Amino acid sequence: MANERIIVAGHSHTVCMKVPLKSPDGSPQEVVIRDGIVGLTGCWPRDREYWSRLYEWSGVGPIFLSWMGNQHKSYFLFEPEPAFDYLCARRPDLSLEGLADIVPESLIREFFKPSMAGLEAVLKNLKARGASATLLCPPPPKGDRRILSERISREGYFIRAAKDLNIHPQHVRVTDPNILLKLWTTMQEVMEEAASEHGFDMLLPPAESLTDIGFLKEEYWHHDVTHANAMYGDAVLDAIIRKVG
Amino acid sequence: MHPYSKADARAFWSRSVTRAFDAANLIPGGEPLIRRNDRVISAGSCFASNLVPYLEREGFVYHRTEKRNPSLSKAPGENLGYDSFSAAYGNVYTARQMLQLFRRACGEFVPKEDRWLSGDTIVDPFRPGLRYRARSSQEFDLLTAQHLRLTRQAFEEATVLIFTLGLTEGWVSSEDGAAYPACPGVIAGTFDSRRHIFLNQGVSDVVSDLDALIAGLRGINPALRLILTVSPVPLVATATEQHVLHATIYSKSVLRVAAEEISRRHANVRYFPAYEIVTGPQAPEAFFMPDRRNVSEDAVRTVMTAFISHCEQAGADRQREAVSPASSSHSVEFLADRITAAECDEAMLDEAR
Repeated sequence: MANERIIVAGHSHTVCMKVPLKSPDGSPQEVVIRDGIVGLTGCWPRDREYWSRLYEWSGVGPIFLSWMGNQHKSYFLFEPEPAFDYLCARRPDLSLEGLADIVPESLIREFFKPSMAGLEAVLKNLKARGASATLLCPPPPKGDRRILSERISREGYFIRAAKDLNIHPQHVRVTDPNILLKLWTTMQEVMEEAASEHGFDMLLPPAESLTDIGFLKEEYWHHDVTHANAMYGDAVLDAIIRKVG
Repeated sequence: MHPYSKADARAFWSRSVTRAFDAANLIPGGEPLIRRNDRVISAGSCFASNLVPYLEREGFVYHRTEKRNPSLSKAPGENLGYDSFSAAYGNVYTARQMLQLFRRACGEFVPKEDRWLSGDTIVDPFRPGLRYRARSSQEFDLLTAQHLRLTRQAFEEATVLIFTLGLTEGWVSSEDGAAYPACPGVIAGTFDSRRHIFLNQGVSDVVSDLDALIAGLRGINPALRLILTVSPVPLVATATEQHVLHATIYSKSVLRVAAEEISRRHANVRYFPAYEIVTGPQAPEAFFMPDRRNVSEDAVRTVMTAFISHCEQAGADRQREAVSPASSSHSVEFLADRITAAECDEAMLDEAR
C-alpha cells in the first residue's frame, strides 16, 4: 500500500489529474500523481474490486472522489424535441429560453437522482469505514455552442453513432449552453446533497477555471466535448492540497 | 289510443330493462357523440380519467396541450390525475371548480390565496397533490402561468369537451369564493375555519355555474360541443351531518337534475348516461368493487362500449394517427449518451498519446 496521504479515485474526470482510466490488467492499482497524492485506477467501467480497494484505503488518508459527472450531457447534449428550460434556484441569473417548455426544477432533480444510487452506496461504505472523503464536483460545461458543434461534427464516433441511429448530423443541435449550465448546477446540487447526507462535502471547481458566468474557460477544455484538460486537473490538485492543508 | 300506444319499446321498463337491456339504447340516436375529426378534451372526477384510454384505443384524438416533456420521461410520473387529462389540472370535482378553472385560464379570476408555503416548496392550492412543486415564488408564477395558458389553449382548440360532474360538496375561500379541489389540510395546506368554508351546491347553483361555463366557452370557442356525465362513484366522505350514503344520493341527484336541465337548455350540450348504466337497478353487482365505491373494469367497459357505439366509427387510418410516433427525442438522447460514453473511452486513448 502506498504511503501517500491523499487519494484521488472514481470515474473519468480523474483522467485530467493523470489518473489513467484503466490499468493495464484491469486490476485496482495505485498511481503516483504528485508528491503526497496517489490515484486509484483499475477496471473500466469500475467494478466491485475497484471500490473494495478504495474502501480498504479508507484509513490511509483523505479521499477525493469523482463520480460520473456527465449525466447532463448524456441525456441533454443535443436539444430535445420539444426543447425545455427551467428556473434554476441556484442560478436565477440564467435566463429562460423564450419558446421552450418550462419544467419544474424539482422534476430535473428527480430525473438525476437515480444516477446517484451508486454514489450513495460508495459514500455509505466509506462512512462506515470512517473515511475522510470529499466529493469532487465535475467540471462545468463548455459554453461555446459553435465550437462544440464543430468538434462534435468532426468526431468519428459521432458520425458513426448518428448513422446507427438514423439521425442526420445536420439535424441535431447542441443544447443551449445556458441550459447545460443549469442542468450541471442542478446535478451538482443533487450530488452535494448526497454527499452531505453522509457527512461529506464537495470541492467545487477552481475559481480560476471558470468564466464570469460559470462555464469552463476554453484554456481548460480537453479537446472533446465532455472533459477538462490537464491544466484543469492541476488546478483541482492544487485546490485539493489547499483543502487538506 | 293514448300516448303510450305509440311509444317505443325503450319507453317501457318491461321491454327494455327487465328484458333485452342494452346500455347503448339509453342514448337517443342522431348525431354521433364524437366524430372522426374531433379533438376531444375532458375534465372531471376520477371516473372521467377512465374514459381517456378507451377513446384513444378507438382511434379518437384526445387532445393534450400540456404533456410531460418526453426527454424527462424517465422521472416518475405526476401524482394523482395530473397527467391524465388534456392539461395538468388534475381532477375537477364540481361545477364551481370547473367554472373557476375556465375563468383562471382566461385571466378572469385570480384567487387571493393562490399559494401555500410548505418547507422549501410552494404548493398550488388548486393542484395540491403535484409531485413536482415549485421551489420559489418566481418559479411558481412561471409554471402556473404556463399551465393556465395551456389550459385555455385546450378549451380553444377542442371540438368536444366531456365533463364528468362528481360532487356538490366542496370547500371555498371565505374571501373570494375560490374553490379548492380538496379540503385544505387534507393533501396539503392548513385548514382554517375562518378562511375555508363548506359549500354544498344545490341544483340552481350547479345550473348557474354550468350556464356561466358554457357562456364563457362559447365566447372563446363557439363551436365547442359538450357532453355531460355524472360520475357514479360515491363520496369518500361527507362534511354534512348526514350519513355518507344519504349525502351521496343527494349529490348525485342534484348533479343528474342539473345535467338534464343544462342539456335541455343548450344546443350542442348532450347528456351521456354513464351514471344510469353503472348504478341503475339493471346493473350487475359486479359493477362495483367489494368496497361498493370503486367502479369495476367491467362497468367502465360497458359504459365505454355504449359510448363508442354512438361515436362515428374510427377507421384504420385514424388508428394509425392515434399511435404515437417514435419519439425523435429518444434517438437524440441515445446519440448524446453514446458520445459521452465514447469520450470516456477516448480518455483511455489519450493517456497513450
